[in-house]
Amino acid sequence: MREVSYRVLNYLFFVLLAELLAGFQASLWLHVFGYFPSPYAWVAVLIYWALYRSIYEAIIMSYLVSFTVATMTGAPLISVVGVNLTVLGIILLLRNRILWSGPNSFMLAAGISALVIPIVSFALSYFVDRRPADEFYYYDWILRGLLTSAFSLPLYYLFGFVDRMTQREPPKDTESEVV
Amino acid sequence: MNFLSRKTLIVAALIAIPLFSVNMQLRSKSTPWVLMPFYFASSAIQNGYAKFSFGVRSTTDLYLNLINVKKENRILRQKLAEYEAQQGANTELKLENERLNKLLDFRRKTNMHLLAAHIIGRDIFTDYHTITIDRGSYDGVKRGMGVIAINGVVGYAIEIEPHTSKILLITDRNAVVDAIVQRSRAHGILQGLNRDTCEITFIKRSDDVKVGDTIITSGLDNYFPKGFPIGTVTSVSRDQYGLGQNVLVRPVVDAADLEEVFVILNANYQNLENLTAEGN
Repeated sequence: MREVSYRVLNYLFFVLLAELLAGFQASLWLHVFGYFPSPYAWVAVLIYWALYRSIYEAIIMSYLVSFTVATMTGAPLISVVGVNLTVLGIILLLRNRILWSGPNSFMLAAGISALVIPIVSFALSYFVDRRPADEFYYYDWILRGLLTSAFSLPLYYLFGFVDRMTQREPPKDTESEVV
Repeated sequence: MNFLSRKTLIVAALIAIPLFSVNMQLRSKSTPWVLMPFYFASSAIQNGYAKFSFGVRSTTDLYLNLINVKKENRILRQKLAEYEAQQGANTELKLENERLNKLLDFRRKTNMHLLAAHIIGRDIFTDYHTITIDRGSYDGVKRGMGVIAINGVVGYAIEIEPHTSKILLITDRNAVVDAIVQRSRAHGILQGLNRDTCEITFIKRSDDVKVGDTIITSGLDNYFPKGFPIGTVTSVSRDQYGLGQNVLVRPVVDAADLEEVFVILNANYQNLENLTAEGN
């Protein structure tokens, strides 16, 4: 198989994973745990690409993830794109400064993102929505942050497996010191 | 141009061009073409998850029942245990039957053309309140159609796919429903405020509204029947200046408690106030 085919396959796999993870959050979680706060499962895909891909590829994936997520929320597409690009920007800023390689770093980045999403969504509603949000759900915010971080650990290995399967180099597990 | 390197320009273009096109497409009411395949995929995935979940739940129930039978076998005779398990299953069936009978009874009593639907998903973001149901354009669901439970209004359809629909709950801040105060017939627009509260806007300062009043649908738009309960007034206040008053309403339906809903395919201009009075 040619390298281009593997690359396209890699993109397709990650988009499919984003769909499955977003569906898990919107549908399966509802049937199992009801309205208990759910982890932002799909954000793991975005974080993985923000940490271990070039900036161009990360931007493309953030759009693809946004299109996926926009189908499962009442939020306008522009808001979802805005949230994902902001998360991407923050992770890219942190990538070479405080984040290091390995699953711990991935979990930390996922946790940070889950904490950033509601804040950005809340702030963006003042520019995008006819009626901006007027209540911030703190309990939900903290729980989702913790759950997303915990939930991202198995996904890190799953994503690495997908990378190996599609002939892309998975992230190295070696831990280094905080720069 | 030194500070604007080629890389910066490419990144800026990568961000700006899609954002611009997304923004342009948002001005039209229809679903952007770019989202069509994603809607198709998410619709299939959510339906799949829901079916999987229902299947797992029934299998788990069956498995748990079996464990119970085994445990009881150690103490009681097998026949008795089986009988008890059977009785338990019957009770569950009876409860389900009662619930479904209520739905059926409600459907029979009205002239409205109703479509029963299962809730298969909820909103991914905390500050938007939508649910997804397993009925779509193939079942006759159209944008704007009202969605109700037996005891009150749930929301209305905003995004329709062939086999699923997204329902905007009345608690969402972007949701609006034409409403009246049942007792005084004061008219206003109900808007979502947060997860468990709505507010009534455009209600005159002189209008008679009290805490505990029932808010019902006006039925003007034919998306909802006239006189169907929306909520109960929890707070009424007036600013020192201004033409209106601040009325907060707690919806009678909590989406978290729902499994099935009805989509109103045609409200037939029905007045449910008489029906409710008869029922009471």
